[in-house]
Amino acid sequence: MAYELIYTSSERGLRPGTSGFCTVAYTKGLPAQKIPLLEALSGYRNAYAFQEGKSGQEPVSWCHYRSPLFGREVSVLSRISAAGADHTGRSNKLAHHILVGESERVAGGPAWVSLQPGFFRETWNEEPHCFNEPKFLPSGDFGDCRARCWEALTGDGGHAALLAENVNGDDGRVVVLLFEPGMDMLPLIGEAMALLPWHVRWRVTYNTYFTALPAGMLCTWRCCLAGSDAAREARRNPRAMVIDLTSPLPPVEDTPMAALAREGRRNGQKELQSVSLTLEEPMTAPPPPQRLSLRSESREINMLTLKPRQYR
Amino acid sequence: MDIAKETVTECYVRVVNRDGETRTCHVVRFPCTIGRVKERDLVIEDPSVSSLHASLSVNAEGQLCLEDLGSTNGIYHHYVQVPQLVITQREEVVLGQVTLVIALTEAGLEATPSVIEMARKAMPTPQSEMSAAATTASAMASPPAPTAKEETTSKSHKILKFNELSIPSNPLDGSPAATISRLVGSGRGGIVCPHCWHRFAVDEFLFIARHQSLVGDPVLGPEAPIRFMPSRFTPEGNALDAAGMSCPDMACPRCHLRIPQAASEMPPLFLSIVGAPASGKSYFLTSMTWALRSVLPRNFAIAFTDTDAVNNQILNDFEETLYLHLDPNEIVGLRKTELQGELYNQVLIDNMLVNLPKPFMFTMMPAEHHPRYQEVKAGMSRTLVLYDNAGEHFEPGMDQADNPTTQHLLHSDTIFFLYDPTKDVRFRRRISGSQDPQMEPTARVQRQEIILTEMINRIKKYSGMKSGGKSARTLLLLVSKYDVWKDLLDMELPESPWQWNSACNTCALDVDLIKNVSFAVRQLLEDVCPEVVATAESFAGEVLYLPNSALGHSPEKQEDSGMIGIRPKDIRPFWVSVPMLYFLYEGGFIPSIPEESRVRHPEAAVSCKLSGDVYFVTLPGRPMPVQVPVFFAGYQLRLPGTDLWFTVPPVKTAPNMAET
Repeated sequence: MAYELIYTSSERGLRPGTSGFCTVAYTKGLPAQKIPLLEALSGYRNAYAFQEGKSGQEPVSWCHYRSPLFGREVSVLSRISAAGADHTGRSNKLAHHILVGESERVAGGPAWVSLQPGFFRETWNEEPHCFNEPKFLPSGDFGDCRARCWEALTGDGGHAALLAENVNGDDGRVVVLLFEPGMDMLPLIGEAMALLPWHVRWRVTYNTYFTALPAGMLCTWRCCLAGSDAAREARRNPRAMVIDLTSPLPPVEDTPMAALAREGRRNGQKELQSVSLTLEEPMTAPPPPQRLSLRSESREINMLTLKPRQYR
Repeated sequence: MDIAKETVTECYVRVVNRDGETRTCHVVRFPCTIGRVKERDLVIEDPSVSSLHASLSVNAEGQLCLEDLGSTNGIYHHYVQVPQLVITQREEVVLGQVTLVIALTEAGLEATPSVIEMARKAMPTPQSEMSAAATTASAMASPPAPTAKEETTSKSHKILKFNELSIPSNPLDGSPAATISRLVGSGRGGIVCPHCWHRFAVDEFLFIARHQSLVGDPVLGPEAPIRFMPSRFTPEGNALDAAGMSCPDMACPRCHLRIPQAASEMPPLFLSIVGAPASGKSYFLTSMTWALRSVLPRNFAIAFTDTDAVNNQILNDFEETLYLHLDPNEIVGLRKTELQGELYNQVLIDNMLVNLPKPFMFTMMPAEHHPRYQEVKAGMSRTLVLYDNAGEHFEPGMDQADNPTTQHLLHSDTIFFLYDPTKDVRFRRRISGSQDPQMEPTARVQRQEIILTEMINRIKKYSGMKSGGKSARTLLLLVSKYDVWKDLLDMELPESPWQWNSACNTCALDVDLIKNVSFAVRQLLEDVCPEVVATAESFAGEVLYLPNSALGHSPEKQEDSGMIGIRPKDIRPFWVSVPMLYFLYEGGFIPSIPEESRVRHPEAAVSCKLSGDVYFVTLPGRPMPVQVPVFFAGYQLRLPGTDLWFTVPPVKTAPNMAET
């Protein structure tokens, strides 16, 4: 079951007595110890100064983190963005987090899920409340894997393979993408992820507006605003591969993955396996996400009488 | 005789000043504050004693306890600086250049002085005072005082002994840790980390690896350089990491965050700024530090600089935004302080993700033209540590183990509580005609005494203070946005409450004026929001009420974004440095206007009746007495709305003690 949590500045929070930056909504049943974890991931750094008046152009942080805290590894899908002025006339932000369990991991991967329209909330004008229903992740997958956004940006879709080929084993090499304001990074991340087998996609962590690595988290693909502190820090990291999207990129080697990114997958073509050799491959195709229902089939029989339930 | 088993109800204190003069006090009520200014229960008028130096109290076990309250020169017991001392028998301690003999009985004071006490008599004394010291020593039937030449010899010997005693044996001799000032090694039991407030010994410092391959720290994450305990050093004293690189940077052994060397060399002064959300804490902090950069060196011969530009980068950005912006007509503003992100360090402690607020650190040192430079250089060189908390952190329920962002309150040497009158509907009703967007009918109001109560509860909870106990620290209650409510205060305030003092070649703080303003603001608050006054005074033995305005002008609302900001040309901060100056005055860092230079007003005939810690002052023509807390005693006060001036007598002996 996926849980969601919304964090923003509000006159009143969900927890009694809270106001200002606080949690305003979450799914009923969200374990209490995970609320601070999600709140801690809600940091946002404005790219522009207040007086620049570019609040509408602030980058959006779409991210997928994995955390080994609390024993079992959890995936957190988030969207964090600037949100104009709050009730006190000061800058606000909106963070929407989805805590994804292992059984909710759909084939498309985290970027594909984030790309689905309406999946994340982009505004919040409601009173604080709890969500009664768990968050359902849409099922689906990328189409032909052709990296059209990469092609439009760099002139060669094969550049998407630069990211995907560095995914190796559990963590892989950190790849830093330097971008300019106005570049939409999530589709680029999605196209690179589409080149990977479905079971590897959920192991890839990313942030489309990376400013700092939260403690206890992993982040493999990091999009840093060119000229920012994070970009300068990334350039100093000898183990990171830096792809500067603000200047022309060098040609990409002709690898199977680059070819897939350029041409897309033909009908019947299998997924490339080269990057996932170190990972245990599931025996079957990805399971469709199971929608939980209060009246699922297993509950249609009265377990005391072993007779069909009679609903009024 | 085991006196400690019974609860102490009294004690005797013999004060031996630098001239050898003695007086004995009988302390019958606790806590008993000790300091230089007349508000203290035991006043020691010696410049080496801080205005609030120490307190005598009875601890939970019923024992008498002497505690250093953040004094400049500390408390020395047998030549070792101690943060506190439990007194079960006759003890001698040294506060600056004054010796206190403390005993539980009057007869106990007369016990034979120890060998160390005798040595103390021969400790460094100015040439002019040596004869007096020698006279005192001989008067106490001690061994003959050494001659001047002998004293010089014994002085150097004693200083060597002092160093040996105050610095624990350090395996890192020759390393930067070993070069850390003697002050740190002895100050309040070691070093207090400005990030996580962990207290540790100097030899527990970790070093930060520099080689790029040495990354992966269990506390800071896989990309942070490794922290390590060194075993090899360069000839210059820097630690060597596993790859053989020289590592000068040091870190806290608990949170692994870097502590600038300057901050480790100079004892910290912690300052906490508390207030409700949107009360203007960030604006106040920015305006205060910006003002102090010029006020302290120019007027008080104190250098005030960034300890570390990296740590202070955010605050420096704030200062640039408000005070160095290119276009004076463009509306600028500071963003709402977040509870995560760039203002915090996230660390993994005990497998728990903990948010720690990033401290801003400033180095304060007497400038070389300071009139007493050599004398005060060591004691006055401090690292001022400040935090920019979000107001949400102070709200009830926000004090969590993984979010200990307000625990600096326990270590703070002073607390500034920012009270925002624009958030109080009662103030709003009295202020008419304001165009301030914060006063719009839809603008949020908030009960701020709840934040104050929560702050008090947290301090009491973590410090072990009794629920009915009072803190010996002065609480500065700053009534912000003075530009909006100044008409309610029946006073004309000067821009700078200090005057040039040719005797010391620096300015001197007009403490009389500040106290008088504090009284006027208190009267106003008691009239409008008495619960705030009651809450503050239930916690702190002394509360100073000060007006201030971080910007000196109302902000404007941006039509398109709905955000509020200010034009740099309108910024005229008012009294933003005064709270800090008063704190520095209390600590003995800056002088006040001398008695003979103060303006005295003709006083009305009043009758004062002391009850507890409040004077009931009956003024002519007024049926109801005015309540004046004892911390205003000794200052000439004007009753707001009248021309009646009066002074309540200092409480030197009563109610806490009787002088014998």
